[in-house]
Amino acid sequence: MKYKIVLNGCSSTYRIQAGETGAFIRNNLESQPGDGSTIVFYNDGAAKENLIAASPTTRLHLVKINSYRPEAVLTYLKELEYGIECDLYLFPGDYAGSELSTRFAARTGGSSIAAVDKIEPGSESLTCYRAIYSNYLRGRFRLGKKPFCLSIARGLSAGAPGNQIEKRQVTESDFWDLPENRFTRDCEFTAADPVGELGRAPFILAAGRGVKSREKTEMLGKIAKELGAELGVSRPVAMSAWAPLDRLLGISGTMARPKLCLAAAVSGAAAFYAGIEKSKKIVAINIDAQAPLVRAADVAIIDDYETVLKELVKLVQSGEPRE
Amino acid sequence: MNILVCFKVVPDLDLMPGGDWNVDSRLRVETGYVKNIINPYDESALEIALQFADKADDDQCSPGLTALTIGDSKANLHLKTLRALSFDRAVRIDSKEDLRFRPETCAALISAYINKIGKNNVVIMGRQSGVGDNAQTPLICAEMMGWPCITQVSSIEPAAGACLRVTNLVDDGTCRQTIEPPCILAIGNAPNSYLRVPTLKDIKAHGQKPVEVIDAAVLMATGGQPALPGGCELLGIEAIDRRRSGIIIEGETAAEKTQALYYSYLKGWLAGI
Ligand SMILES: Cc1cc2nc3c(=O)[nH]c(=O)nc-3n(C[C@H](O)[C@H](O)[C@H](O)COP(=O)(O)OP(=O)(O)OC[C@H]3O[C@@H](n4cnc5c(N)ncnc54)[C@H](O)[C@@H]3O)c2cc1C
Repeated sequence: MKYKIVLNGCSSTYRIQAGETGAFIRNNLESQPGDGSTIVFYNDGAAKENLIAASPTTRLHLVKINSYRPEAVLTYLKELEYGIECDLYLFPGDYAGSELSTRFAARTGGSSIAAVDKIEPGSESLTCYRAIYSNYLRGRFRLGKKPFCLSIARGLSAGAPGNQIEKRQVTESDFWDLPENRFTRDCEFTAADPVGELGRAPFILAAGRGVKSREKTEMLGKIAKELGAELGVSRPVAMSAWAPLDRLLGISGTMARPKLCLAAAVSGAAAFYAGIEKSKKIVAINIDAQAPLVRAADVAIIDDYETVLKELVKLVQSGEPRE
Repeated sequence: MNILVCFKVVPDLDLMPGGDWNVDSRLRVETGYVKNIINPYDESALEIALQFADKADDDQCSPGLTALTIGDSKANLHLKTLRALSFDRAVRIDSKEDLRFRPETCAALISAYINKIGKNNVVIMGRQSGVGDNAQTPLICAEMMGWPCITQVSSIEPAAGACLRVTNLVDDGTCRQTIEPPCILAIGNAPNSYLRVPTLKDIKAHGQKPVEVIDAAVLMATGGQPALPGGCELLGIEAIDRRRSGIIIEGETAAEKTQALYYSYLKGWLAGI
């Protein structure tokens, strides 16, 4: 199957994109080296040698643009790929990738699907798997029209480039000068850490709606510090602005992979659980023994979260210091 | 400014009793016995539109607000509530089709409504809804309309010259941009955007105003562009088993249980971090 990976080299998430898409290809396609290539959109801010070094395929095409705007990138991509036969365009699972995959399919008459976790190529179709029903269920879909345009599910792999490629074949084009869609009058950009504290944390204390207030959420933030954990929260806590959005765990937030996650007053809805399911160990603290998280945890305490966590802080602080 | 807010009514899947998923031979999932809610991202879209209208009112340039949904009559109650919340129009495109995995059909119906009836120049909707989880409708709608689309929007404010000041998340940060309509805005995580509740006064003043119902087939037959090819067909559905050991720590008091948790499990796990 001929495939192309499309990456956003203007973003500081480039290495994550390259790692995720490369791992997806290795896990899903028995491809020969000549089958695939990568298209990288980049601008002045990006170091070319780093883009080349992290590329998931031997062949890559670098496209210089002014700045990353989905409308412009779609126009360039269509122009670049005009008349070229390609079975599959693979996009990362981030915001930019899921947007481009759908819109590129619409422009090329292909078929598209977002957040795919596995594919099985057929001769004329592609079978794709992805979560449905807020992550409670998983659907199997057939895409029937080429090019198949997919974005992959977020958090599938750890995200660092995993393949060592000796020699790259690099081609380039320059769309730097082309006029852009100017519906935007002005734009201020504030950079944020794309992985975030939660993405790196080995130990997370997750707080759910059952904590009941902003004050209690702040108190849990302090307890997290005392335990040596990072605070994560469920959607209702973030939506009530009891904690900042970058603390949100789940399909709409961080897909974390800590060694340990203590989840306090969280029911364990599937959309939340996706954000902690890669944890090595999960502990649930809930007053309700029937809460879904209790079954999906390694161990659970059925009791009030505040009493349990305060007791736990005492125990941890009185124990031997951790290395 | 003429704003269309699209929303979907979905079953509250968090209320489904654990593991109780019945899938029939047509791959429909039995969810009839849990209550229906407005999809959370669409709920944010509706509230953000109301907040925008409040601010625009202060600037004396109040926008027209239409709430639109596609589906059967179970959405009527929500439409009435939106009417009471001062949406100028509350519209249901009546369709009994299985649209769970048909974002291209939803986008075609929305585009047909805009072109034929609404003549809206700003469309706001949630980025994803929790049954199909397709996360594609706003994007396909933008392609059909030939309009730009901004995704992961968290707030919209009025700006000079009939423009919008839009805040949205991108993969490596946040953008605040001034946009000239027409445009499609797909709402992502937006704090403080739970839908307000109408007061008794609101209900008395607006609650009895009619909900418009438009037949989907008639709408498409009289001027809709055909849906862009979707080409994505559902073949099967499986449950995801997330069970772990689920050991419940026994004890008389919270302190006793916590000690058991700490000495039997956590102490060792924490040492490994
Ligand atoms: C498209 C879509 C995307 C979504 N994305 C996300 C996402 O990324 N992240 C996310 O979190 N959610 C997401 N959701 C929402 C998700 O479905 C749930 O609604 C949400 O996770 C519930 O949060 P919660 O567990 O904190 O609240 P609840 O479900 O209300 O649970 C609160 C829990 O606290 C317990 N409790 C109460 N008091 C105490 C006490 N004193 N001590 C101990 N326990 C107590 C209760 O027993 C209960 O189990 C999404 C939904 C949709 C439709």
